[in-house]
Amino acid sequence: MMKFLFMMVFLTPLCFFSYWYLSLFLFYLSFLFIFMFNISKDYSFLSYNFGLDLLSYSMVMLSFWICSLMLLASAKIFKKKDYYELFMFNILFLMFSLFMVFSSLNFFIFYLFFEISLIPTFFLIIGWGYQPERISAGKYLLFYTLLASLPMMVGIFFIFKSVNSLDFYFLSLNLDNFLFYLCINMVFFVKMPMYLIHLWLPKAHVEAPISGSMILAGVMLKLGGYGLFRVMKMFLNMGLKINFIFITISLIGSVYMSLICLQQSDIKLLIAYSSVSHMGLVLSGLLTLNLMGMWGSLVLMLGHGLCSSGLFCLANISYERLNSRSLYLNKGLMNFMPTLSMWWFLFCISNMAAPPSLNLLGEVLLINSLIIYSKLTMIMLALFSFFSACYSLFLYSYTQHGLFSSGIYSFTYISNREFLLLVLHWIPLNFLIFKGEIFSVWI
Amino acid sequence: MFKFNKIIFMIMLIMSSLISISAYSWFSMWLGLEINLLTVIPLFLKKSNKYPSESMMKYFFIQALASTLILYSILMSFNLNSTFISKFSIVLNSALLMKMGAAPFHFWFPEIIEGLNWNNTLIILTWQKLAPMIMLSYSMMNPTFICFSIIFSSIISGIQGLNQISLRKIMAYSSINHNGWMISNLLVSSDMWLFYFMIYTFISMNLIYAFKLFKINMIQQLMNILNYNKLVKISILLNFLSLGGLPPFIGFLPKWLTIYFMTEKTFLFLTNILIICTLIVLYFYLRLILSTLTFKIKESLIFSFKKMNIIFLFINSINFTGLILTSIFPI
Repeated sequence: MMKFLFMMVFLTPLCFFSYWYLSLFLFYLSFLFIFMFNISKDYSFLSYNFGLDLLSYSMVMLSFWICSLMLLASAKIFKKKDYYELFMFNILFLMFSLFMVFSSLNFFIFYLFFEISLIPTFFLIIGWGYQPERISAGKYLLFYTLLASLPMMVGIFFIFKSVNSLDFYFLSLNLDNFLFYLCINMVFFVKMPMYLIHLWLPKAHVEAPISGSMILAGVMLKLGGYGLFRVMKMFLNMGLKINFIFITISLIGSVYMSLICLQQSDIKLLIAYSSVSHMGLVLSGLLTLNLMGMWGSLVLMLGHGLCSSGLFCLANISYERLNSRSLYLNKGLMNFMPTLSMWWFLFCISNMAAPPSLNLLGEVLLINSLIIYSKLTMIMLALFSFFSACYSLFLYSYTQHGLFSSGIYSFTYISNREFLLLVLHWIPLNFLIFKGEIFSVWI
Repeated sequence: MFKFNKIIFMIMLIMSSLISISAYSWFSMWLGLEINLLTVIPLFLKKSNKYPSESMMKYFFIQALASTLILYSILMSFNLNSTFISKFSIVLNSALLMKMGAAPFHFWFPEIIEGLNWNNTLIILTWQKLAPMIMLSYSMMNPTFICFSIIFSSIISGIQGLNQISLRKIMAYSSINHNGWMISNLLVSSDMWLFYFMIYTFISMNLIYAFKLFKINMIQQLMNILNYNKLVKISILLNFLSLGGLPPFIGFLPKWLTIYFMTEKTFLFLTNILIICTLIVLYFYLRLILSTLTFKIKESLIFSFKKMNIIFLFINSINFTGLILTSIFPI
């Protein structure tokens, strides 16, 4: 644990020297972390306030991986010398805080770094975004989260007053109080994001640079799920009574969001809404509080993190060449970039949960858990799966097939860096399923 | 030009506050406050324009009124019998709240600060609050009244500050908001109050020094300073996020401790109101620093060429590392 912490701290000076060295070292860090994998459901690697169980391990792994890929994806910032030192420092700081969030054993340290990780994300959107609307998007991101998270601080201290400890291990408070439930959980619902409080997410995704989109879809949304995993222990009684409200909202929201995806003309917006829809499924599976729900939500969080991040990368590759995210201009790309078309296909089918992907495993488990919870969810689940296939196909066919737009100017072919970026998203997404039991049967 | 009289008055200003916070009787506290008033007024003086004189007049009237009320309530309550009567404690508390510019009695505060220069603004925002707050902590017989003032401070500062474009007024409204936090600290623990006060003073000192150095008065001017060195500009203006109490900065620490102590004493409702209203204040802080954070802004207009000194950068670095340092070396 300490070695990763120190490695990240001492990488800080490198931020101000070399872009590719930092990228290299972040990958080195990720691989070091992969080799540490000998983890079960119990906490291991304990030191001070930090430790890892399988949930934390997979989340830290995801955030290391996504942060390394962020540097790989945004080489344009380096080429344009667009304050790239600050950019690298931002990413490193984000990675540090995500590491601390996911590996902390203490609720307050979790909360502290949860908030800290908000700041670099905000800077990424405001600093390196494209349109002037990024300012309002950043404000949405910040204030949605802060409005829900500051009452959680009061809730945390209330727990401390009652239990006299904030270790996740000792959170055994069982309060039947709806306000307390909202105080603690609302921030995770905002962060997931649950339907009705998701408005910050599409805005933030559209305005963010590629790195911001990747980290938002890849890791920040998973913070909410991770937090719910940790605190749901406190709300067993309360959850049995009122979780159905949030399950209903997020399932209906998932279907709505899928329908909204089908009428988008902006690629990034489509992917953002699709991630709201998927996270709705994760949230509802998690709130059923049964075993399959827990397994499935971890697997779908991992799968969705890699898949939507990869889709954002693809969208950005098109954007850098065509200077537009519109589906009406990004047409017929198969004519120019047939190899990229294969990658679009692979990521789109992963997004619709086609066989060799983590999303499939996750969705199967989550659908099982929800049907165990209530037969009525079958309607929404059927619609959700159908429409998720629909919009993924819609995205693929509209971007790749058809006649290309005549306004396209000449552009370069896909570089090795970009292929590497996509491969490194795709391999864990589709190969982890061969050893799926370590991530699915983990409690 | 070396102004000897200002040095004398400054020393007397400090001494008088110390007199009133360390006094043994209420009468000598009042005496300290009076000396404080009479020494801070000459400090405001500036001959080049008439705004400081206007501020001096207003400040004198308000503070004299408050002092009269303090004297009145002291005399009335101790003449009757030697215990402190709750009725007069409300009069006394109102007078003290008026002296420090807390909310229902805050109307003079932004107006007066608007006419002063940055040094005097700093004095009014920080040092002038010391004595009334300590006196308030001695005489809080009626917590409901104090809670009323706290809630008013936080709501009013957020809403009125949204509309301002003058940095002095924004600092004044933010100070009213911090008044709310500091008074709520007084309710639960005076050690926490000291801590909050120190960190608030530190952050405002940083900001106001920068404003003075670069001669910034309005928020538009923030766009044009220091564009040749974004890193330094960010490190200055992130003090605003610190003032708003966002986590990786030092300003989060006193808020964290305050919320902790208040939750422990089960002031749950009051804490939530404070937190939510501080978000409004954070909104206008954020508006100030957005020009810094949007990197792709046009940078052709560079007005200020003053170089940064290294000490300033060093002091600002405490803003970033303070939270981590305090966790390494616990208090």
